[in-house]
Amino acid sequence: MAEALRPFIGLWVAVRGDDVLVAAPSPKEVVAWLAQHGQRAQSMFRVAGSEQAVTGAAPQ
Amino acid sequence: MRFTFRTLPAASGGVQTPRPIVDIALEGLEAAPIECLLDTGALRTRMSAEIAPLAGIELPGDLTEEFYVGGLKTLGKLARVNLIVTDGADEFSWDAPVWFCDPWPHPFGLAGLEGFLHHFLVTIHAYDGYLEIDPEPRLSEAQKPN
Repeated sequence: MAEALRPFIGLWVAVRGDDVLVAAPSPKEVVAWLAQHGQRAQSMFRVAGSEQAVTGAAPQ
Repeated sequence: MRFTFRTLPAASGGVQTPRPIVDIALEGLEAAPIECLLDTGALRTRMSAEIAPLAGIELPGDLTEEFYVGGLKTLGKLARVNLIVTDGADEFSWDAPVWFCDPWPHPFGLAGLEGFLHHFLVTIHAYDGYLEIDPEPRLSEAQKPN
């Protein structure tokens, strides 16, 4: 899955299983596409553009 | 419910170590559950503030907190929302406090003690790369119809 996401670094994506349903610059656009096409994703997230973005955690 | 650990691509071209992730949907945004990293050390459950309006959630701003995450100062606004988790076969929903944060540096949400861990029995099988969550029995009983 990680390899499939590499072309979408920096974008928000909606995925179902190993399939990327849609990728867009904002979650609003992703959600609009899902609604327009009657699709339901398994998960929505932004594909990290830096390793720092995925390695930190909340302080509390 | 069982969730296989998930990897994320790294900017360096490598692949991050698979980590415990659960997809949590907000009521009103069931078509796009938010990928959330299980954060056993976090008190709060937090997501990007960009998500809230997509689920029709208003952030009144009367309960806010400033904090640092990933070295970035951010502002969190509290809302009580209904959250939903499913593995495709079973589904569980619960009312939870979620802090919607702006700016939000992470590409995922963080599922912490309040809002998530309080509501489940969580078993992390890190060596085998999966986690199991079961609704806290007392909450599960409360959801059953009379």
